[in-house]
Amino acid sequence: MKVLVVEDDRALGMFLQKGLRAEGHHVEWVGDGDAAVEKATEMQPDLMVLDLSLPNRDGVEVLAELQGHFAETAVLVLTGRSQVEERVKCLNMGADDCLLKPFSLHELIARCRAILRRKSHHVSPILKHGMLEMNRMDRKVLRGGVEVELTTKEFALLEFLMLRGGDCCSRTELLMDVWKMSPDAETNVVDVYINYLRKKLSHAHLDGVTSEPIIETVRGEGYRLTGSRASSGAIKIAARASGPRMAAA
Amino acid sequence: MQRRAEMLKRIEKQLHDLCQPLTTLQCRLELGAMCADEASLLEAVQGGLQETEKLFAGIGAMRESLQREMSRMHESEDVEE
Repeated sequence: MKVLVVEDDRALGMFLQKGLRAEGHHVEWVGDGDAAVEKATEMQPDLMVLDLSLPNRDGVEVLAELQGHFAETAVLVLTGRSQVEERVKCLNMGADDCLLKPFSLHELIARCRAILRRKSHHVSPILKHGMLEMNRMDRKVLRGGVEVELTTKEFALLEFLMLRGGDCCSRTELLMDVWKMSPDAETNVVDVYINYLRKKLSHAHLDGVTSEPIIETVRGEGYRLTGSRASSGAIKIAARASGPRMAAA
Repeated sequence: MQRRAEMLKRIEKQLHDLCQPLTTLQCRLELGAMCADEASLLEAVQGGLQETEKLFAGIGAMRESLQREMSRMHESEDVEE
């Protein structure tokens, strides 16, 4: 998921960014109200973590701007002010939740998870492809019912491939969307991680008995998942040009 | 009455000023514990000490205004006697 952190305290902003990145989100951080609106326009975040005390344009003004133009973006408000009226005002203006400072990073992450879970309530967080099953909320992957432990990057790579069903994904696309790197970057990181994934997914299946390869190389093009296509009820999954995310049918 | 309102406003601001470094400290330490490698833990401790300095300054300001209010209270008690 794409998350925008808006916090004028640089150190705190960086820690929130690190903590949410460790959760596997794509996270950007800005330090003032004007930059928040500008960045939100550019990245269309799924979630904004918004501090109220901001230079240039305060959090309430940002919230008002969001209400008009970014109805799809969920908002978690952070505040150090203890007045209940202020929190009520923010919730009435469209914020999804408020968190009073000081708070624990674990609580912030859990609240973000809850907001995103509610937000995607109408869309199943489960992606399926043959024997492969991914829960994007719990960040769990199963192959044939066996859990596969993946790193954040491996998870993001597999998520991108699964969102594409059985369609081919080029190395350039993977480099840009999963690693946020330039298409000209001279690196074999995609091939290395595809190999990691292949190994982990094959080990997880049938207790060491050789299984069907789940990721296929398309010569001169890239990679794709083999076998039957994705299914998750009546939900149509689409990978957007700006990165993978869910879309309701 | 007006002085009381001013005092409450000041306490509110001082509490707000304590919240920021305390949140940063909490998040720094939790992130350090999550990473758990030596470099992350060292960074968390060093950064944590910077945040405690800010907390000390905040507590100093609160103590100062408390002492000011207490001496004002004693003065008014003396006048009443």
